[in-house]
Amino acid sequence: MKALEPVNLSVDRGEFICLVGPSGCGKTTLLKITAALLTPTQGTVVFKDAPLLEPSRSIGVMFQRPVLLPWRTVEKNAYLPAEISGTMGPATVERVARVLAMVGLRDFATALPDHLSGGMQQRAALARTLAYEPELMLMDEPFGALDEFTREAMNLELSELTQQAGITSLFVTHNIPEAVFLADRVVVMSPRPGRISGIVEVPFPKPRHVDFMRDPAFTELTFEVRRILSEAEAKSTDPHGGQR
Amino acid sequence: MSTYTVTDPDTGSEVDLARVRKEKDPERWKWRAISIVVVLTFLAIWELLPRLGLVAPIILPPASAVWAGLLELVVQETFMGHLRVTLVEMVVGFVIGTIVGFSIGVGLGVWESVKKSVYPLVVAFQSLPKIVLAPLLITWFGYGIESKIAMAVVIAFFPVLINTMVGLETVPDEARQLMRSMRASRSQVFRKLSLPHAAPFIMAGIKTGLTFAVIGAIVGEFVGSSEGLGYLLHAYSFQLRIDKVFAVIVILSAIGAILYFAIDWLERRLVYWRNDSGLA
Repeated sequence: MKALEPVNLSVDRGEFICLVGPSGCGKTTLLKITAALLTPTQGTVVFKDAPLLEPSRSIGVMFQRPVLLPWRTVEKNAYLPAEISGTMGPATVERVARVLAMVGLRDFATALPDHLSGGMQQRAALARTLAYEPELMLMDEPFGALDEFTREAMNLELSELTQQAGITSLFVTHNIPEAVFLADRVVVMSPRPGRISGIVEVPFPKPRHVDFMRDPAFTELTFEVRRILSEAEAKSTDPHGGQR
Repeated sequence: MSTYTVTDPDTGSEVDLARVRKEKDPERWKWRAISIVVVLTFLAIWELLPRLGLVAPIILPPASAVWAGLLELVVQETFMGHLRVTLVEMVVGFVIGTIVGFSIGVGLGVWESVKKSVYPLVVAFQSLPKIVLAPLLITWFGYGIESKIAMAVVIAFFPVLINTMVGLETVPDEARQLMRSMRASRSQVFRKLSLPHAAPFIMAGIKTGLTFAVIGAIVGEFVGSSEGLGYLLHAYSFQLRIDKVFAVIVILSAIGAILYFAIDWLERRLVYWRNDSGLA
């Protein structure tokens, strides 16, 4: 069975794209193809005018779980990418210290991940990705396992940090308000088969403040995303009546 | 260690990292006292059963007689020789067994093709009750120390092998993908991810291997030897010196306990992170 129908999406430098859709719509597959962690059966990913055939050091990936190495302290987890690329040095130490301060973990640099709360662990993972200085960040529901309050706080910070650093972002979520809050463009995806069923532009300046969620336009945009999802749902109903 | 108080940025509450580990201390002392009482009760019953004539002293000598036998035994000229032989057999067998088990375990855990081709043989060997090899090993390696070391190796290497293999195989998929997204080489993935991930498993296997090495050395001595604590135990048994038999048993369990706690101490230093949660 095909996970994804042909997908065509181009993303500009510095843009924040949210992929939103129900389970099974292929959004994680699309993200992994973009990271070159999966090879598509057809088609290519073009990154900075060249086809992307293997993982790139300019692309940082964040997963739903923090995936920290429990035997390494927070700062040593953040050193990992530099150690692997053989660029570990005083510059890395300085950059990691700066990034840890940015995500509010300066006092926890020498703590082991198991001593941290879920939110703090995910901040550490964010710090590891930022210390990489990626041009493109691919995030697969990075805050999906966190409680609502922590999640909102993290979204605000992420919005600011990526804006400041000019990082291009591809962010997978199934939370519609979260997608609208973060994105320049919300790419709506639908399952059976996985495809893009619409794109919603969010023409509001960034970084955004919590007040944006009270704006009538915000509500309007979330409804627009919901409308595209339910229309696609109606269309994708299996003619044979079954689910697979 | 100094107190290490920091604020959790998510909840705003103070977290004292040093305190988290010490909270259970008073409970621990209470249970330690209770366990000492249990041991003393056990020794009292041991002493009283033969003294009250409930059990013949030739079957079970009183604890005090065993203690006297123990003191008599350890000052004998030949005792240190027996002790040294058995310790060498145990430790050398354990070390070789660990190295062999770890090496084969890495081979099986890292290369799928090696596992597919060799694993059935490994399982067949494991289902063999290895004690039956003792007479054969004595035929091959003679009555000396070598056959006992071989016996210890043969039964000690397997838990290390299995645990190394399982530890290397249970590295979470997401962690592998993370390493791949950073363009880590195969050897970097092994050194920085798979091996440390497997370390708690490997240490658990090494602990079991140690207990097995002790058994292997003693069984080897039972089957055929002219020195060692197993030989001594066997000889006293035939002479019906039951107090001395118990004395040797006490020494053997003390050796087992000391070796085990040494490994346990090492484990707590090598595998200092909580090892029940996998990756955070």
